[in-house]
Amino acid sequence: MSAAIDDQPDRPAEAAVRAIPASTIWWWSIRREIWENRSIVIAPLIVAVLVYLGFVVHAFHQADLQRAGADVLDGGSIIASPAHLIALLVIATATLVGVFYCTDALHAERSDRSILFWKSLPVSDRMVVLAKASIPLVVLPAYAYLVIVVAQFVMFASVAAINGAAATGPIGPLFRLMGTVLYALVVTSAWYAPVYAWLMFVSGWARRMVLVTALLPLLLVALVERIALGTTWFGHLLKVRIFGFGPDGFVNVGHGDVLPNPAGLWSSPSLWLGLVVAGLLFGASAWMRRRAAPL
Amino acid sequence: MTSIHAHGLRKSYGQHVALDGVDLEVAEGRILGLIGPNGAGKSTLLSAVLGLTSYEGSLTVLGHEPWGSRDRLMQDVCFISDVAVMPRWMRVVQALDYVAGVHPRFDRAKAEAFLAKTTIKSRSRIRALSKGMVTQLHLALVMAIDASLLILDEPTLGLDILFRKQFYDTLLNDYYDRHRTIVVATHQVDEIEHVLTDVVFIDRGRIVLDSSMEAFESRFVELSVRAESVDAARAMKPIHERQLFGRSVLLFDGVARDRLASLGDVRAPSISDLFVALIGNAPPDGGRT
Repeated sequence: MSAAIDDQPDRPAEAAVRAIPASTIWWWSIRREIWENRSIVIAPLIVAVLVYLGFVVHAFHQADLQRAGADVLDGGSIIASPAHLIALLVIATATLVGVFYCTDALHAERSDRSILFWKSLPVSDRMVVLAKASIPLVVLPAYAYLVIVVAQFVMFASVAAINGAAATGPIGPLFRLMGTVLYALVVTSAWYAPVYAWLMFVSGWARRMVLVTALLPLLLVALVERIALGTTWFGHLLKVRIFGFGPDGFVNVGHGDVLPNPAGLWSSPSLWLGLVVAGLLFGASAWMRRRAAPL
Repeated sequence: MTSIHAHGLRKSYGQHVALDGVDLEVAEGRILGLIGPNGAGKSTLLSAVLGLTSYEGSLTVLGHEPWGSRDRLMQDVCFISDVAVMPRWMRVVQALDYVAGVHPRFDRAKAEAFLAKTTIKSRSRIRALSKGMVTQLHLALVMAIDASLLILDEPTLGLDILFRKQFYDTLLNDYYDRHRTIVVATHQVDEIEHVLTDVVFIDRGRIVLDSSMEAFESRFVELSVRAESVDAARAMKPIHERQLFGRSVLLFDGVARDRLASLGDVRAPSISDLFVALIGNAPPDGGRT
């Protein structure tokens, strides 16, 4: 052994080490999250495929009716409502995946004790939380958009093949819908940011049952407010945050139709307040991550 | 150059004091054995060195203050622990990809060359590997990182003796050089005694012994004393006495070998002999040297 030691040349200077840009570390951290949580990729895809298959059955059925001489188009196109449906369901799925992802984000690595392995690598706690926050806020919406757009094009092509080119209607409305979907994804991402952040924060310290631990105190506050003050301010706040879907971001134009309302969105105090709360909670999550140990 | 410099290091969890004023200096190129009973503060000390826990007192590791700069420190420090388990869902190739992606000192070719000598397949998930194979994988990753300080906390716990031996042989032959510092905390001290350059005993959060192996060997002497000389030997104030095959075995601190040689058979004690003498049956505050 000693001979081997003496043969070692002197180590090159510190400067020889290549610095890895933060963006690269972020990118690999994202990939590592997707490797671990395959539902991020699979769940929106499965929903899209199922809706599409249902749609194809419907399209063949319509084709039969067409052959029997019925006017199935009724002035519109076959794909308008399925294209809406697939967008809605994929966005809802991606949001749900994001919710469950966040309840696990800082908990799984503590319960499977891999956290010390992750911490043995030169990745800061802030970077880890940034990458984990990027999953529901950036990665899932972007991926959902890709899935929706591809599905909608495939639907369009399928209608052309099954029901004839006339049945598709013009492609303009489809592009408009794709624009609306993109807007809706940005709105939902921003609207649910504090929800994701709260869940991730709780996942950073709860020992078990993250979802219950996250919901219970909120429900308790709402209950106490109702009993003590007789008001429902906090309960209403929760309801709007969970089921509101970015209410200021759209205007209702009747017939169940909504249109994007960016001006309303950007001037919405509740949206901005939510983003501030989300920022604080993600910061607190990084603080917790620094102190986190295996469970 | 100093790898680790600790002065007055303290850490308590509520009422429990895990580190009670630890002073420690580890120079570059040393292989330090950190020995202590369960709950003595070994893991807390290593956690502090790795930037995993906060502390009071002063601590510098490779020129960095660990608690404030763990991510920077981990460019130069590697860590294998029984408790730092690799994620079970990960594939071997993903582990290589990820570490190559985030670690500036990782040499992927080196890790792959090491893995090629094992039976580990790159597509395997870690959960499908045996404990020994996971340790081999972790060792492959660590050995491919050009780090200055390697911390091992019970790295071979639960492995059979062949794996344990191979682990330390690989580490010493293929990894260690005079610029790297290794700190190893283990209970299987007899297996690593011959590779250590320094030894530190820790008990109840305090350093009980801090010695180079050269000093250790010249300072401590074990005497298997002849029956008729027992009283004469006891008069020379042994720090510990035990019975072995009907003979008294006395351990001396700082007594010249030639003074003892006439009383029986003299030999250098093993680290575990001294550990038992100093800590094994010490009264709450006794046995300190």
